[in-house]
Amino acid sequence: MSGELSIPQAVIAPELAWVGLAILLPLLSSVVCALCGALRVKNKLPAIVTALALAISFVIIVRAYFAYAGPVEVPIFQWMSFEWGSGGRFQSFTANCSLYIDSLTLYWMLFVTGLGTLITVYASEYMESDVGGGYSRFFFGISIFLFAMSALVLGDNLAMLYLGWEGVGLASYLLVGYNYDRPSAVAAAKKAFIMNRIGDLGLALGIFMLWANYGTIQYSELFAAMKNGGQTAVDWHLSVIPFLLMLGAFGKSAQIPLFTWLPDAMEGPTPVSALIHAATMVTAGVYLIARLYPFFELHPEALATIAWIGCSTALLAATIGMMQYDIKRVFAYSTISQLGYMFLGLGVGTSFGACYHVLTHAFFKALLFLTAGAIMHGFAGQLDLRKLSGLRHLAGWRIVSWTMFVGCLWLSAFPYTAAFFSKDAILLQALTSARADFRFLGWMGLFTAALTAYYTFRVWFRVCAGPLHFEGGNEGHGDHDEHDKHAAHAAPAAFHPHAPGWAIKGVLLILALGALVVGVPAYKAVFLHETNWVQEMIAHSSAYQGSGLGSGLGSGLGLGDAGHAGPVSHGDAHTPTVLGMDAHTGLTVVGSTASIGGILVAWFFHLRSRKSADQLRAALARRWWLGWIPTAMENKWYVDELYHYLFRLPLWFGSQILSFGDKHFLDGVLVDGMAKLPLALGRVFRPLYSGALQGYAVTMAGGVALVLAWVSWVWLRGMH
Amino acid sequence: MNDALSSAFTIIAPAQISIALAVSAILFGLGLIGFLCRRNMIIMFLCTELMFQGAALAMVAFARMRMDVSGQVFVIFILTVAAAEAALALGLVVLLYRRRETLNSEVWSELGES
Amino acid sequence: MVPLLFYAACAVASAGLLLLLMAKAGTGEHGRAKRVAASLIGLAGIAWILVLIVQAIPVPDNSLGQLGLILLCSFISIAAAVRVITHHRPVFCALYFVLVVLSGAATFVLLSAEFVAFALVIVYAGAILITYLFVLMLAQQTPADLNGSDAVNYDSIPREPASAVIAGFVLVAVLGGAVFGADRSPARATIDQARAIEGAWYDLAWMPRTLTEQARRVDPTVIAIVPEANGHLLRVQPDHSALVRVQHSDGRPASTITLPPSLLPDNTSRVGMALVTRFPVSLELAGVILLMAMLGAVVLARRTVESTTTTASRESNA
Repeated sequence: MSGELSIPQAVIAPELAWVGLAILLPLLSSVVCALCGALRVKNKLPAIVTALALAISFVIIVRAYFAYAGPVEVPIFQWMSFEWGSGGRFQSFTANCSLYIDSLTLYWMLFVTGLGTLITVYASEYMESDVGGGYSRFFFGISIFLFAMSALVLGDNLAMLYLGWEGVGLASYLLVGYNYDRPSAVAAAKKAFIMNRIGDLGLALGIFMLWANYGTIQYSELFAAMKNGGQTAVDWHLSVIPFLLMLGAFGKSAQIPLFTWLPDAMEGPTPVSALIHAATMVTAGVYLIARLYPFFELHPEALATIAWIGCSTALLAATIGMMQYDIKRVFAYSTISQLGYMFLGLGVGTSFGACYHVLTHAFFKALLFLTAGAIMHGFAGQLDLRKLSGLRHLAGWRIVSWTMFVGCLWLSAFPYTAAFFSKDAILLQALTSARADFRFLGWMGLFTAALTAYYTFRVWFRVCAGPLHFEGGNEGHGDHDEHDKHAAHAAPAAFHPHAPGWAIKGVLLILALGALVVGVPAYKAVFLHETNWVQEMIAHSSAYQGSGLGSGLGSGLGLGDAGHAGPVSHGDAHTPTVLGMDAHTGLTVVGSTASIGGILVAWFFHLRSRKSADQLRAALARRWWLGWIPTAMENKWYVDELYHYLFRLPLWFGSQILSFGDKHFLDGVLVDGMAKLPLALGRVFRPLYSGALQGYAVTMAGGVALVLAWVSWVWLRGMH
Repeated sequence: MNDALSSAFTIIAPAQISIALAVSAILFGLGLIGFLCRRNMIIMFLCTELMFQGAALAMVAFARMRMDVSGQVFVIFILTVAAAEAALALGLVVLLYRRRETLNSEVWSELGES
Repeated sequence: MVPLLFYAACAVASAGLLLLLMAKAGTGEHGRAKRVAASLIGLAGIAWILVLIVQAIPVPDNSLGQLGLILLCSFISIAAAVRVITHHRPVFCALYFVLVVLSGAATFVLLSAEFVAFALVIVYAGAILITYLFVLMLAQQTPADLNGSDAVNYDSIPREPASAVIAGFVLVAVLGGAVFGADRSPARATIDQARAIEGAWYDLAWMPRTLTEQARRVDPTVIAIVPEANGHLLRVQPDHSALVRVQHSDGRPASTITLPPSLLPDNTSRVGMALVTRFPVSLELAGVILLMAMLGAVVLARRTVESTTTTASRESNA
């Protein structure tokens, strides 16, 4: 590192211990929910308790935000602290239950607790059919998730981060497998859990290596140690640490190669998808990299890898999302795709863009999932966009339709929406990079943006626009019996959708409003030339340090974040341009074109003439060199199958072999064999104890004969 | 000196002793085999007499070989014991027969494990 | 030297015996053929054993006749013994045992053990076997008692003949094999002979009147034996004769005469002498054993009476 690190040294501030309540309250509410479950409470008490706890957490974080004056370390209690030898830097280990509060922490906690509260309120209505049943279990899962997520974000060391990391994985497992009587849900839960374990291995090894290299796992000490350089000059440590941590981030944030669990995780109830698998948990990977950004900067190729993986994931997921028919799956792939953007942002060096995109994405994606959930709730689990149409004409569904429209606009990065700016920041950084491959990734991201706009509005034009038409799903609804569900095909009017109540609508409206509000910092930056609030938050945390990538990528890259200084670059050797225009303007033009173009294509194929979509597909299918593409996209590029044959089958065969060996060799031969040995000996010798007199006589005579034989043998040998 | 030694004091051909000894071993073995595989208790005891017979033959053969009468004296004791054994064993057999109404030795297997 | 050939011969004989034991009695032509084949194998084995022994040990020409007799007796003994253990009718077993005893007695006579031979015949064939026959008849089951084929089976089907024959084979092979290792040097035989003759002479010295009678056969004028200075009555000479100092009835002074070996005491008197001079305690103990056996038999018989009465009462109750 040539640049001067300017991370402010954290001050010890025990007086801020009340922030710890943000971790404690969800834990308490989880205890209450568990008690409710044990006592079989038959009302909405768990939801109320959880929502209350999360709301208080949110208020606490807001207070902490206003009280914030610089990075602080808040000791809560001593957890693990021991030393050996002379107790030097590499002979002690400390992982206390302490909080590390800097702007990045607060930034993350604000939207985690805020969205958590809103989605809990939403879920209190969404899950009402389960009151008295799984209701307490559901909110127990939500509480434990918020507890773990808070610990992950607030903890001042990597041990607490790891604890929270595993905790959110557990909560995700519990909530994805909420409907444990459905085999697909159980399989999805297991898949999510196991794929996360692979990533967690990388994370754990990365943490070990960090300790081995720097002798501590506390953030403040780590950053201080980094200034002095690591323990060893061997680059191996420095290059391997980011890759290991990266693996953990990819697992949690569903990036290539560990992304296939996220679409399956949609088996969980929709609020879970919104909260855990869209807004918060999956961004933990982004948080990890942002938090430890300096260590990634030590190795430029690590960042490049992140950028490549992120962009490839974005494109791959977008292509898959184009051909899915399940609304939640489309949104799941869009989540993967948007997470890919975030990693692209981190990789090309704009942690601001990545974090800003995390925020905007959290709002609009939660909004989209919740609208999808509302539809699912109202239409008895119907999520097939071919079987739903024109919902905006249906009474009681207008708010859902139009909030979904807002979410779709944001997701497709429509010009001058918040997501437009956040995505812009990422793409601008990529396109103006000195590295040709980053510029290529920028164009790839733009192309993906167009695809995103297309598949997003494909959903909206199909579901909310067009002629009114719908079919009910096959999930049990209180007022529809089996007969009605079959009749729904013939006469749509026979199915009565269940319009959402005010808890759902209110949350949707608040989220739509939130999605607008999170654009405010960007508007201020663009129109009033003020400093972006998010930029400020990121700039004073570890995530920002050396965003210019230091000397690693050459000084020509010292661009800084695009949103920071507006369209004017930092006056380096050359002024980056996009298509010959000034970078910012050019990107605005190109990005808007991509977004609007995608929306127009979607409008043509999915609203104006829906038949032409099928005709196009048929036309593609007639060409052998193109026909396979839609099928492959529909089948998710066969990644699951590939993994099945590459990993699952060999492992399965291996396990069969080992199981066979275990059963027949270890158990059969060694254990049972040893046990059978006395039995066999008994079988051999039991006839000798038949009780018949002559049996004993035979033995005796045989013994005498043998003794005589031995004696005569000795005698005869001695004689000659 | 008018005449030769009486037959008891002449040196006997070793082959005769050997044959007598081999026959004694065979008689003993046959008695053993009979004792082990006959089921009739009386025959079993008869087979022990066969073994006595083998032993007695060996004694006499050794006595002849060494020209020492101790072997023959031993045979007389064997006869004594055989007589005593026959008296007691046959008494026992009769007793057992009264109990089970059969001479089959296999019905007396209370020591058995199975 | 390990007499492998002898072991092989024993194995053949044992195999024959085993086949004979396993061939079920009374199964018609087939069973008969089997029995014959087995007997032939067994006989071949026995013959081989005897031939091996005769081959291995040199036989002087003058004793060929005696050897033939011993072989004949041996053959009869063994064959009869085989019948004892294979015959499925107990009475015939007992009778074959008599044959074993008789041929054994003949062998004893050939081995110059006349007294033992006759004792054997009298005690065994005469007394013990009669007792056996009595008991057999006493315990004989009437056809009415034979429920099922159990009685037939237990006399005709041997139990575990293979293991018994194997044990017997090992025993016979080992014991018989020892025959080939014995010390047969003529010097040893001569020493034995000298010692035996000397012993016999001294046995005679235990019986002064018999000794005097023997001396009278040499010289009819002998009236008494005069002990020598060392107290001995006679002096054994290296040529197996003995010198005794005798007084004469015709007033001649005491002179020393030579007793020829033909005047040695006969076998029976030597056995008697040995019994009373060398084994008197054993003789008494044998008497005690017989007495105890008699008492035991009485006790057993008394219990038998009790058990029969209880059985009878049980039966009457039933």
